[in-house]
Amino acid sequence: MNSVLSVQNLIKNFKSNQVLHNVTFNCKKGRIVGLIGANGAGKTTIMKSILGLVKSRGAIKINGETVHFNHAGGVDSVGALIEYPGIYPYLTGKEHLNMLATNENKQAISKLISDLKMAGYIDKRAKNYSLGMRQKLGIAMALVNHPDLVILDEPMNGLDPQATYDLRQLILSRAQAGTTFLISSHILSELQKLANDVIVLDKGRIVRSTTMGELLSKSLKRVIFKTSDDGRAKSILQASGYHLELGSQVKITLKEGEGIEEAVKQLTRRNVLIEDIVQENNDLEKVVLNLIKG
Amino acid sequence: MTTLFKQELYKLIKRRSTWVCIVGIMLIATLLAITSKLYPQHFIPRELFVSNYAADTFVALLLIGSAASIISSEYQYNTMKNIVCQIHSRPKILLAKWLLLFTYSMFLYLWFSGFAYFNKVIFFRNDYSLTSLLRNQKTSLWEYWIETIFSNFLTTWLVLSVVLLISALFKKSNLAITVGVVGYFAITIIGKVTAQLIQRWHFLKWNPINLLNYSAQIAQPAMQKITGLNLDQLFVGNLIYIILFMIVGMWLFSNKEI
Repeated sequence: MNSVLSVQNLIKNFKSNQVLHNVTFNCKKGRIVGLIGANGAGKTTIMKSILGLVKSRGAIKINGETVHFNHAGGVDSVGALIEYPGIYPYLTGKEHLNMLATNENKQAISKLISDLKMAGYIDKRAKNYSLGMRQKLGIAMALVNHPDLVILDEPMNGLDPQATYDLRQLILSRAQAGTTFLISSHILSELQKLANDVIVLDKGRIVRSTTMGELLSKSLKRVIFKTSDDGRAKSILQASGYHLELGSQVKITLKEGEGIEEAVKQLTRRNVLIEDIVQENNDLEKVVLNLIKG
Repeated sequence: MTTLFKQELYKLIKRRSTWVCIVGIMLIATLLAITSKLYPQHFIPRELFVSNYAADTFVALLLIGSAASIISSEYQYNTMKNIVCQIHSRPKILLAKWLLLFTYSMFLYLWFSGFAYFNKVIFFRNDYSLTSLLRNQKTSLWEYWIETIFSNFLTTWLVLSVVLLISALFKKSNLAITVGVVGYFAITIIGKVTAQLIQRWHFLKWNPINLLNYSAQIAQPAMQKITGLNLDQLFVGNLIYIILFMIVGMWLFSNKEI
């Protein structure tokens, strides 16, 4: 697969403060890439550098064409929503889309409006829009010209559950059609449903760059046993080398490749009756927190 | 570049204030035409006609406001990011905005010149003729009118180039508007002081405030003694300063992070 976006050794300083340290990653065609990190980790700065909004060092290529601060060949094929949407209060939503759409994309505006369920207010002046309406318009503006690469910074901001669902469906269908997405979001549960690839950032450095599936599968799992004698069960499992978590519950952490069969065998062999087993799969939030905590 | 210009034009046309200001200036001009018809001894009809019934001053103020907000409004609405993401070239963005302002200024000067002629025909059909000669018996009224419009246009652009430079530097329009308005009336405010300074240090005749006397010197050629420059020098001086201020503005904006 070809890389639509290639970022190599990206460095950014704000005066003497270095905020990006040799950030390197690629986004392949049709993939949804999640950019994750705490506040100030450098997500927005990476996006701004890619879009030429700020000066940075390193090499950025979009569709093979190098991006410079004041020149970029492949920029026609990029749509973006950075921070909060930029909207002219005196124009209607439809006028925004008409103004931005190229001739070949004008006819698809109605479909985009219906996909994002904006028909009810699209002909009203944007100054009266709510936060969610503005956000949807900002996303529509990023998507209107069917770009190859779409960069969305916190796209779910201000969206209600229905709008979040609609946006997810739209992103998934566009990705299936070949659009590449680079998305940052603090709503990790939502990103978990969307992203194919994940880049985890911590203090301007990439701490993990992998696929979502791999990141979740390699993560630690926790198992809670409910037994006839929890005190004894804890002693048996500890003696067998399992890492027992603090608390009243019998809760063990399984390492990579480790199953629960052996633990069950140890307990039953010593006549501890297992009444229930609950397996806690790590979600993206826990994995990310673990990675950032280091 | 063409796309950007079309978008700028689209925004200008869709802004309600654009039309409100034009209608407002038309009303003021008509009111002044009627007043000069009723009180010709206080409001000299020919002089008011030459100034397009004061529309030139209001057009200059409208253009100063537009120049100051043409960049700052993009920051205010957070739309500068959209534009930079779309075109990725700050020089092109600025050129499109300059071109729009130039087109808009051309339109306004032509429109209000046409409107002044319309008012002249309606209210002063038989009072005076455009082909009548002025007191010097050399220039006709229409020549004087055209020269005044052109010189007003040029000096307004000298002020606009400074306003555009400041607006490229700062994200808010307040300072650019203040400098623009003060600059436009600078001759009235500090004209005497600069004249005295020019008498003392001759090279100061090339300061941009002195060049704003271009229109006044067309009306009163004797002003050359005060400005120390002839009309051709005032014309070239204005042009050079406009280009200089715009080049500096372009350089500043081209290096600006969003």
